[in-house]
Amino acid sequence: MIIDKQLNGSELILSLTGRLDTTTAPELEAVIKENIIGVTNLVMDFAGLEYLSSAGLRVILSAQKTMNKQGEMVIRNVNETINEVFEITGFIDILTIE
Amino acid sequence: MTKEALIKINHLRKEYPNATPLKNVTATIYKGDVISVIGPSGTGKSTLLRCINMMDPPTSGDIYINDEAITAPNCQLHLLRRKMGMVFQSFNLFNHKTVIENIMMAPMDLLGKSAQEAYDKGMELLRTVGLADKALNFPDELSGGQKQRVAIARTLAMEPEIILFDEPTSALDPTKVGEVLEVIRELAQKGMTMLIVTHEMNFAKDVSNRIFYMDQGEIYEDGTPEQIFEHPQRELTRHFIMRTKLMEEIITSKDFDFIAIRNNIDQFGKKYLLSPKSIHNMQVVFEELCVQTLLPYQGESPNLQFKIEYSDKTNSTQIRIAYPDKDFDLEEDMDMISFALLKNATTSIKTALTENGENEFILDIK
Amino acid sequence: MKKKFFSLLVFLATLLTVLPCFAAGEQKVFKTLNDFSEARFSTYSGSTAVYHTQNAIPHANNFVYYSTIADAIVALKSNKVDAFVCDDPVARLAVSKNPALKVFPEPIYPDNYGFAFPKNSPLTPQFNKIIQKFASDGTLQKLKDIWLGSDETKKILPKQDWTGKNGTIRCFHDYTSEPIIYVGSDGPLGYEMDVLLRIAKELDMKVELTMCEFDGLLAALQSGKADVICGCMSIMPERKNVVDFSDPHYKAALVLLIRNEAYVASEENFFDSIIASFNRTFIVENRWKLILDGLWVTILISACAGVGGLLLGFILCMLKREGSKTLRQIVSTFIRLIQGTPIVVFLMILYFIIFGSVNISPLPIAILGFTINFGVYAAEIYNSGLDTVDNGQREAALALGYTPKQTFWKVIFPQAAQHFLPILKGEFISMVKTTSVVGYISVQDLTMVTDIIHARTMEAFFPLIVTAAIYLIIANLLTSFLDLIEIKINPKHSKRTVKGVKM
Repeated sequence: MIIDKQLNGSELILSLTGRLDTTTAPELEAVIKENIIGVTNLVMDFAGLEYLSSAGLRVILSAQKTMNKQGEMVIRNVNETINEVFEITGFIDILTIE
Repeated sequence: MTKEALIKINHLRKEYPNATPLKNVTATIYKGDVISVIGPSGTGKSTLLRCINMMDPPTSGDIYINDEAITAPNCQLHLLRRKMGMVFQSFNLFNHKTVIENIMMAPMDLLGKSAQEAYDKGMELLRTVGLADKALNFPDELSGGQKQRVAIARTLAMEPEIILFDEPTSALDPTKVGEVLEVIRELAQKGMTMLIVTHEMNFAKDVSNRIFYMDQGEIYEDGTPEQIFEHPQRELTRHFIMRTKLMEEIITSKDFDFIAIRNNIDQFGKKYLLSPKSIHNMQVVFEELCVQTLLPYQGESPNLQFKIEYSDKTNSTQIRIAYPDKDFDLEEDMDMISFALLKNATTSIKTALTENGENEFILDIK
Repeated sequence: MKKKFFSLLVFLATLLTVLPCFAAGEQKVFKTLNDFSEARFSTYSGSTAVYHTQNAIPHANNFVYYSTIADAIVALKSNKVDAFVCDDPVARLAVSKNPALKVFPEPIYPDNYGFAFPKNSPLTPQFNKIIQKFASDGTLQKLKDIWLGSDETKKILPKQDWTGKNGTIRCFHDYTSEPIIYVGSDGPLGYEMDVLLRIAKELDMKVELTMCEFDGLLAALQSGKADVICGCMSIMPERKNVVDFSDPHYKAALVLLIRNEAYVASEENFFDSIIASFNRTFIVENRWKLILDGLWVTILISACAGVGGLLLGFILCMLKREGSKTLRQIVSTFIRLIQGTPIVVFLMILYFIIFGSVNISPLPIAILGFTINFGVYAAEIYNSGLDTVDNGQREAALALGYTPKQTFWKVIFPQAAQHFLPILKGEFISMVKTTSVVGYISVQDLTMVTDIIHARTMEAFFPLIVTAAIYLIIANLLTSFLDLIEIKINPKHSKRTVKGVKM
């Protein structure tokens, strides 16, 4: 998985390409942890994301919880497969998906 | 109804210098049985047949024909062989004789029949296999299907008690298979005892009263066509009948190569042209059930068996995951997110015990 | 067919008569022995001529060897060589029959003929005593006059009408050196024969004569088959190492027989000459009877060896296929050994070594030799024929309940026969033609008989053509006969019906 990050002041944009699963979820977790201090606007771009497992979902959930305290989080460009995952797991109700 | 045993096979073993096609075969063939012998190639089906009439003498074990041991060193081998006809894959008609002479020869030479008797009987047999007009032709003037029908008639002329068919249609042009199977089917209806090594599954299902599934050098499963084809009891039988394609991974370390297995699943799916959706669902099962759920409970030396079975016949995919120790309850012990994903990827989830007594999940992939 | 064959003969005859005329190009003229230094010589194999010629003519080294005098003379006449180094009586007789030849006046080497015996034979002193007596009382001179003369009516050998109470002398002799030793219509003739018989009479011993190629004579003596050998045998130091010689009974010389450049061939009518030649070859001395006898011997050897070889071959083939491993190896080695030995050598080994000390006529040896030789080839042919029959045929028969033996005879052999018969046929015909070498062990077959006639007439044409023609006819007859069998066993050639059945 490739994580592309852009930090514009208090806005952080993370673009994910590839698979977010057991092996790659910790990477994403580390990137968020490093950059999230002072961020008020977290954008996750899933245009290139092919696969999302429960491990990835847990990282997304924890990021959402953090952002609930210090600003807001938006997920963009969700494709059909990923959208289905959000639907089954009920994440669709928790996340802000554009 | 008491059945009369015609052939008894006890602990038959056949070794060649570099292979052992028959390890331990025990079976009884009753009068009137029509038995199809099926199984993957190289599992000793033809060898079994050839041992029964001593074309290939077995290494050990006994075979009794009507309670007479054909494996005994002092038996009248040629007399016992007269009770058993054999039909070969390559026909083996006598090339220097006409069709009718092929049929007349043995009854005249061996049963002392007059030429007229042998001829009349031969013509009658030729009519039943539909080849009376070829009586004066030579074998090389016939098609494969015609040759095999003559070979059957030649065997019948000796009035055998059983006929051994050694892949009778394997050397035939696909268009000629039907005419030969039709003749065998008629023999079955007339009550002829037969042992047929064949790859024609539908034929075996229709015509037989028993099926021998041979694998691992033995008669692995012996049952009615209904049992073998609809409800095979044993794993290898099931794989063979369902024409299963297999992928198996065994995880014995917490630091196993996750990416390698993920790729293997991908390639297995692509190889058998499974839909991207199915491949995705297989990945979900592997990751959510195997990696996220079962593995953390395995301690320091895990032993997970992950098996994908794709049936060519039903175009369906099943995943079987066997694990030792504790019986796992998904509803209770599984993370909710993982369980939701898992349920979405499968049509059914069952638990069972393997032949080795391990716990097993059987999941039908969506 | 017959017509065609006849026209072929006429064509060959014409060719053979005409060809030598082209060959005879420039004629060299020889005045002294030194003129011969560049010349091409012919002589017969096994003779001492080369040694003596090179002593007399320093640079002579172009020699061609012929096995009979007749061949050498034909070669001389057809300009293949310039001079034939031969014994004086042979040369004189050749000139008397061939005006186109002459003897070069200067002899090369004085020569003496004697009888040869095994070392320390008791016969040697006995012969010597009588030869000395014959020399002193003029008997030898008288006989020389008769046999070198032109009056054929006087050339008669004494009948063996003495009792022979002192035993029998077994003599092997050459038969190609008229007038010293040759064969007429009733058997051997010649000066040397006459001397031999008269000596035997003095000793009161019977003589048993066996004709043999010159090359085989020494072997016959050494193997103990012969008590004495003769045939213009020069008394030479090298030969004395292995045999004892009698005193000379004939003082001869080695001379050069050359073409007579003064002779101009008369314009003889082609057909007249053919008829004369035919007469000489067949009619004179009832020579056609000899040919028939020879033909009979050839047919006898061929037939016996044919049948015997087929049986032997079958046995060898079965041993090779069914025997134990050791037996198979022995048979294979035997087959390879026989196949690797030239048949002539094999026959001579059989006759002179294996049966050397047994008093046995050479004809059964020839039959035995060819039986074995044909047998090993037949064994291989059977074997490859049997190999062509698919194993499935055997299995099908066994599965029906045939015994292995019945399976072989009813199913495998008939099919193999279709494959091996044509090859066997070729091998048999080639064997028939190869029987022409039996002359080496003194069997008078067709070829040896024509050699005898050829030696007398000094003509190549009829004896050779007739031999060729007879072999051709035999081979053709055999081929048609075997073709018939082949057709008979091919099931597809017979009418398609089932025998003994009302259809």
